[in-house]
Amino acid sequence: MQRQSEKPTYNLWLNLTLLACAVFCICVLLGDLFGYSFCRYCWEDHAFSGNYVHIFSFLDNSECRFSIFLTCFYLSTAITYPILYCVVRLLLNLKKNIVFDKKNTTYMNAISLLCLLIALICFVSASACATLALISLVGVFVGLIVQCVRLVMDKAIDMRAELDLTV
Amino acid sequence: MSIIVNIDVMMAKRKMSAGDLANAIGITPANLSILKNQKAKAVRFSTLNDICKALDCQPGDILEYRED
Repeated sequence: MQRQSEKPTYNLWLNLTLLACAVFCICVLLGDLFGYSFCRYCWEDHAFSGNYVHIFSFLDNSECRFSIFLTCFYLSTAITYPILYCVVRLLLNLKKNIVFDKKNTTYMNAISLLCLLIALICFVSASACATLALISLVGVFVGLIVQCVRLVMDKAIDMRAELDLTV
Repeated sequence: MSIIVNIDVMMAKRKMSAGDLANAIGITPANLSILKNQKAKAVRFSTLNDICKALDCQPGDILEYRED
């Protein structure tokens, strides 16, 4: 039987994902470089600036809300770098055929927690820009999915260790 | 785990070396070492059968339960 790692599609998917990571990293870098202009452009769109929660009086000021939106953007992009680092390390491990390893679950745990952190930042900023609540939902969803996959992987590692110690 | 593998005791009684036993039961010396050093998580019935056959003993002579 042909092993999964020997199938041509296995490396193809890994290479495609690595390429996607590189493209995403460039996007984040560009986002950081032109963050202010990008945020200002988005802010002009009524979908971002029009909805907010009237919990504090300073939120009635559009520039105040824009500052919160900008801070949220920069914090999120800053957290994206360690996420991308973990994803790339994980993919490189898979490429080297190191699949059932505790290091991989550590990377997945980090990815999941950082996604949840971005979701939390977006959720807090949603008072200034309600559209961020949607991004927060996506962050929570991705974080939980990665955490589920990590748990499955952890169990698989334990089962493999048990199998290795079966005489 | 409180299941103790006394395979080394039986090997000493039968005056059999680890290499000879590993050859007789068809497992690698590394796996026999796992069994001897209490690192094994499970033992297949077929392996137990071969060990009992090679050492001419009962499973109870090899495996022992001890309270933690």
